[in-house]
Amino acid sequence: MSAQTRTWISTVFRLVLAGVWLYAGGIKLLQPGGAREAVIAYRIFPASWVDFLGWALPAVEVGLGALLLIGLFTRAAAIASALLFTAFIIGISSVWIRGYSIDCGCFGGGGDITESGKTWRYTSELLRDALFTGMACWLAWWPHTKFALDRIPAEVVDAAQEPLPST
Amino acid sequence: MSAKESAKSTREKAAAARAEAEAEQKRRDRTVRIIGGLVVLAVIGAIFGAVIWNNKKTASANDIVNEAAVPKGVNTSTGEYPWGYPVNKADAKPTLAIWEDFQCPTCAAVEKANGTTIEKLATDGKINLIWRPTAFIDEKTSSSSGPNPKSSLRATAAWGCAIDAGKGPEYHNTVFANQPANEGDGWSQQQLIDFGKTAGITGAAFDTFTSCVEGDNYHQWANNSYQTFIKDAVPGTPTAYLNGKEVTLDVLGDSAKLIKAVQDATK
Repeated sequence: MSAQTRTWISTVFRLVLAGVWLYAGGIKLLQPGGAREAVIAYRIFPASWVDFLGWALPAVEVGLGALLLIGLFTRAAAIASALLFTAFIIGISSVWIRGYSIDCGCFGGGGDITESGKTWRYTSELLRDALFTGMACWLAWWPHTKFALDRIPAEVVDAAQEPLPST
Repeated sequence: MSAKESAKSTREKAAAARAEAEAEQKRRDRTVRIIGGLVVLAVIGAIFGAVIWNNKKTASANDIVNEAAVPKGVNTSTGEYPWGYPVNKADAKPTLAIWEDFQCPTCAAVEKANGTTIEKLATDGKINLIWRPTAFIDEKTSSSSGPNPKSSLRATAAWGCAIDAGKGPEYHNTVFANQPANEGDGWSQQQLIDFGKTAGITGAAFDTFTSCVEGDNYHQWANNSYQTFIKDAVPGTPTAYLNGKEVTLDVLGDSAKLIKAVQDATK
């Protein structure tokens, strides 16, 4: 695969992840308490943490989304994204294993819900987050993208150039 | 100047220009990073600022009032299950505490499926049953609720009046049995009074009950319990704890499973 192709794939992944974070974080910020209800449903954090996490989580999501959108600190934002998605995968697996039926609250909402369709619900959420984790890992490995504030180092630009006709 | 020297000097000049351009590029990169980083931090900071400011505005309505009047036999601010309603006392037996919102459809479903067993465990003295009211559905449905706003809170306050009249469990079951099909539709004040009759409150006791409901005497108790629910980060309703350990919904709603869980918890 040429460096040019990689750059374009990275660009698409960066913008997709930016959209995912901005949407996921933005919708939570518009809810009363932020993601508080969703955080509580996971039964992982003590009561004294949930108010803070309810706002901190969407704020971090919007922050990551903003960085990815403008292409600043792309590698760091991609690594942080991969870690956050991995945390979500662990969280969802953990409530599933412990036998609770919750709305993951991934894109707003949250709390306990009925058991119906539980297996497919959790499976699809885990697959989706795994896909996002994969995209974030790719971007962390190849963080050079088009339309970014991060500058592409000269050697990457050189590698992407067509070979000069020999004289 | 020889041609050789001239060429060398041109090369040097070019190298210097390149170095200068690279240094310039680095300075630009640094500026972009610092400004961009600050902007993103400012966005996150603004979010938190807005949240804190908004919380300060609404804080007073969310206060727990420790001195609030409570219905007969209901817990006060102190003890293990503040503001909860102990249905019975069974010494040395496990405690089953259930958080419920009168407008919660799943609570009504559990009551319908397994309410009889839950209450029988209490009346047989096999558990200490504590009902803990909350009213979070008032806020959840506030944008769509029709003619009966704050139904969870008002129903809980009216329930307090029924507890005074000695008909706590009966009133509790009546409200759940008459839950409207659409979550958030709630009950009128008149309905909450009529439920007292259905629950078996009669004569002078009914007059006392009616004036208690009309006076909203236990509003603060209902709100105290609701605020405790929020403070303790209870994950929705119904949420039941057997000796402090959460009981999942499939156990709470199933007679055989709940009896087994109670047996396991009884030493």
